[in-house]
Amino acid sequence: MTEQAFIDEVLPHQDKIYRLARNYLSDADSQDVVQETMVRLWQKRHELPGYRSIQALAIVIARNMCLDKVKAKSYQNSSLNNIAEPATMHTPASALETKDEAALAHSLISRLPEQQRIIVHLRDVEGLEYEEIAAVVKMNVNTIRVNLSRARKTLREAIIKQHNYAYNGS
Amino acid sequence: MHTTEVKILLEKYYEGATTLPEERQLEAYLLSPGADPQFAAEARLFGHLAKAKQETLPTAAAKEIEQRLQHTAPNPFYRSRQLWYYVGGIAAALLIFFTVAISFYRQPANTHFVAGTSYTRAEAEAAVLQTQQALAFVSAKWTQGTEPLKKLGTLQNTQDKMQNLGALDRNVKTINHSMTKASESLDELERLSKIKIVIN
Repeated sequence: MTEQAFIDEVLPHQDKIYRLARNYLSDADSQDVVQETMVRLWQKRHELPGYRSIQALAIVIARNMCLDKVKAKSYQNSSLNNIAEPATMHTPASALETKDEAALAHSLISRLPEQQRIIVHLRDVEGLEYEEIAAVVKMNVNTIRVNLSRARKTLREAIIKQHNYAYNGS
Repeated sequence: MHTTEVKILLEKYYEGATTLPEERQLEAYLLSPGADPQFAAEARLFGHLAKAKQETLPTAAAKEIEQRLQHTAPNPFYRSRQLWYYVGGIAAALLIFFTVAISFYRQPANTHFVAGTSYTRAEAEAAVLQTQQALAFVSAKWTQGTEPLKKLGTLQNTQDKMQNLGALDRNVKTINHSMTKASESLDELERLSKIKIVIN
């Protein structure tokens, strides 16, 4: 794969990788994961035309990196604190709002079991088809649907609880 | 979109049975100002997800990645991995070929394999000769052995003839017996005729 082809076909996936990583890690660590994933893909760019889906490859690499980082830093206990970190003072107001809303979505998704987390993210955030998700998680479509169903119901329950809590608190 | 239709779609959504266009349709409705308040939880959920979709890698981070890639050379191992696959495949094929060839040609000249045992040509020829002799011996003995059987055949013929003679003898006896009976009948007839004459 040429340098230009890499820029055209691989670099556009960096936003997807960033969004995926945000379900596992803090903003800074998510940026590191994107960078490391891109470097790894860049190093093996001559092999990339042989892969059926570069997107699936990129997501698998990024997901494994995220899980490694979570394991290394014991993120499990403190993930919510990191995800809900406040935006910087230099962030514009609209971006701040988007970031907070997005952080809430990541916060909700990050509480799901790992398989449900990646499936609901790939479907409801990235809008991938079931077959594309299957290429990443190595599951059959029916299992993916079952996991997705459970994840969506859990998210709804979480939203309802959160909503009630907001009302009670005000 | 009608409320009933939204409910059906949401039911499908929670069962993981909606298609992407249906999910986009739901999203458009739930994020619109006219969405029914009974779907507030779903509207909030779709709102969070919609914001998450808009999130992008910060520009500074993207630039940093581009700069890093410019200073990173492709990993020579990755670049040559495909070549190594080809070379490895060819090497393995050659290794198998030479192993078979060497094991075949390392056998002594004029050696033949019979049922997992090897013999030289001279040994094989001697074995064939001995086998021929043994078969000739067996054949001769077989011929000798069948000669008495021919006499047995003659004996059988004699027996058959004797049996035929016996049957003839029985027939003669039967005829003799019949003749005797006939003679006795004639004597009786003669006696009866004499009595009749006396009566007259």
